[in-house]
Amino acid sequence: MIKVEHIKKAYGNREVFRDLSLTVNDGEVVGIIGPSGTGKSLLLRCMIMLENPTEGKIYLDDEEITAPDCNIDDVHKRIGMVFQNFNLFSRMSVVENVMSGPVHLDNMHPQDAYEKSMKLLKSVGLADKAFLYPNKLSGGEKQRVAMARTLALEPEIILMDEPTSSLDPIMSTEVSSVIRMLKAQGHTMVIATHEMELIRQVCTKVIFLLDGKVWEEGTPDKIFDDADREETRIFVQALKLLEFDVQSDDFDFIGMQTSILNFTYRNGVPETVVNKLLSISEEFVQMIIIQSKGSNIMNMSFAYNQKDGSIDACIRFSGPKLDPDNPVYFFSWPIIQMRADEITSEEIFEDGFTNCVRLKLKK
Amino acid sequence: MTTQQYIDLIADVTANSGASIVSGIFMTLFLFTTTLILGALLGIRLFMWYYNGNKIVTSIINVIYAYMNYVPMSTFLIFVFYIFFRGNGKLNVVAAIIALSVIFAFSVFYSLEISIKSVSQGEIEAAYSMGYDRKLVLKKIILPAALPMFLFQLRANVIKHVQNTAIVEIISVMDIQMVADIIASEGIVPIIPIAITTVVYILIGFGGARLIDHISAKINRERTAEEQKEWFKHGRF
Repeated sequence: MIKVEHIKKAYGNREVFRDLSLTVNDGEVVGIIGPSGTGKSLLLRCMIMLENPTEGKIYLDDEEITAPDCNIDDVHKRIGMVFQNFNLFSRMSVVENVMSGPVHLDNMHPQDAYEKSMKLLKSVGLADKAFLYPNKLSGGEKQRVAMARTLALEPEIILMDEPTSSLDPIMSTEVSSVIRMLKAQGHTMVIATHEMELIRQVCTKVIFLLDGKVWEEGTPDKIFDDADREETRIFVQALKLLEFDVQSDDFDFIGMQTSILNFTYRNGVPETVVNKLLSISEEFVQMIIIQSKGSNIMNMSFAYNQKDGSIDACIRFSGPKLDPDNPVYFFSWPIIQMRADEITSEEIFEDGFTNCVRLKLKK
Repeated sequence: MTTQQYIDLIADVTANSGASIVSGIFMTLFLFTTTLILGALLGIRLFMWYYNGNKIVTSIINVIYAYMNYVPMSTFLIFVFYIFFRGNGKLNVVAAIIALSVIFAFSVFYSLEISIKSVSQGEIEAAYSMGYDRKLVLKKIILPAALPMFLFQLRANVIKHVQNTAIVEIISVMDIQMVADIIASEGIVPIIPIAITTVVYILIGFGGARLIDHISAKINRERTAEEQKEWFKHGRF
């Protein structure tokens, strides 16, 4: 069990934590969410004492780890950490990375450490890459090695600082699988992440950080679907919302597709809905922006409904009135109508937009 | 000098040149090997004090390091002869060993410092988070990661060290020792011009280094979007 009591953390005049308390019991998997800069990573670093809180206390079971006479090296052996940027030892091979803790810190014989490490690598699906060096691995593979390295020391608690944020959706899937496996094995974990789908699948408790303290905590269903506090609801809603403003034909369309893929992956959007979304976004870009050579502008927002797995899209754009017989809309509009399950359109006159199309994409 | 005297002089030099060359090579190898080993050991020892953060030792090292960086080796040699061996001509080789060892020690120190600073902070942090203590982090994580860059720099340092211990340098060491003896016999006053020269060297070296830093910052900066567009318009790339 790890208990954080009234910690404060300030850098000069800038206060990050004002009065933060939380408890992680044995067997729990706690998700930490919050806006960027709110201190999610810093909280994990304080829990493992890579940073010292300005005030307050942290207990690991009954031992106060913030006490001056506490042996920090022993604390570090009991708490493991997986970093956002993997932080593998570049001069060691994959298996040596995993062996490093048991050999250097537990004085295990290298042969025994090797056998143990190979079992761990097998469990994360990387036994065949044991003798490669980190620079030969993909991001997802590096993160799995980092997890195996942490597990090799058999920590009581595992902290994960945004374990998938540096990864694309495919690599994130690999790492998420390992996290689910760890949960099934009964490991106590604290995960700082933005991935709602991951939190829903593995976390037993979610903590929302805001303004330097625990703003709200509860089960994933409670926090994501029925939060008590308005700031929590606004934040969670923002996680389910994706918006683009297209002002010219210089817009990064490829980046837009990547953002859509990341958004849908994070929220666990069904594949059929993802395909529809990609298709209609591409058609709108073609129809409104590219055909007009960038003389029109467009705003697209997509909101995900967790309950029925659908997406509500609202596309506002400038240009001629939406008319299927108009050559501008002739080719793309039928495709959009085919892809969307429900579609309404209207004329508007606001912020430079003249048309608004609302679509519902169902699974 | 008559022609016969000249011929006799050349014959004398030629007759003794073989022995001189062998003696010179032996002295070079002896100085090179001895100062390489002593300098490397001293450099590593200095670095360990520096790494362990002893404030007094670190301050002393920083002062000597600045001195070694900007002052020519010959001036340093004069100081060593003057301070440690004034008037004792028999210990010129010992003085050379001390001076050359210290010079090499600081080149090793500098290479270690740069190599270790190049190691990823993430790896170091990961090691601490696993439970490695400071010594173990240095020995098992930092030094292995720093080794390739250190060896690359060491190569250049060793080549420079060979030059420093060359026969020509040995000859000039004897001359320098003679100069130092003369200075020592005149008391403290003659050392003042040497001290002033040292300060001038430091100022010139420091100023030169700053000028290069300034030029480097100008050249290496990222150009703004406007500057880049202006370049392309004028056919530059």
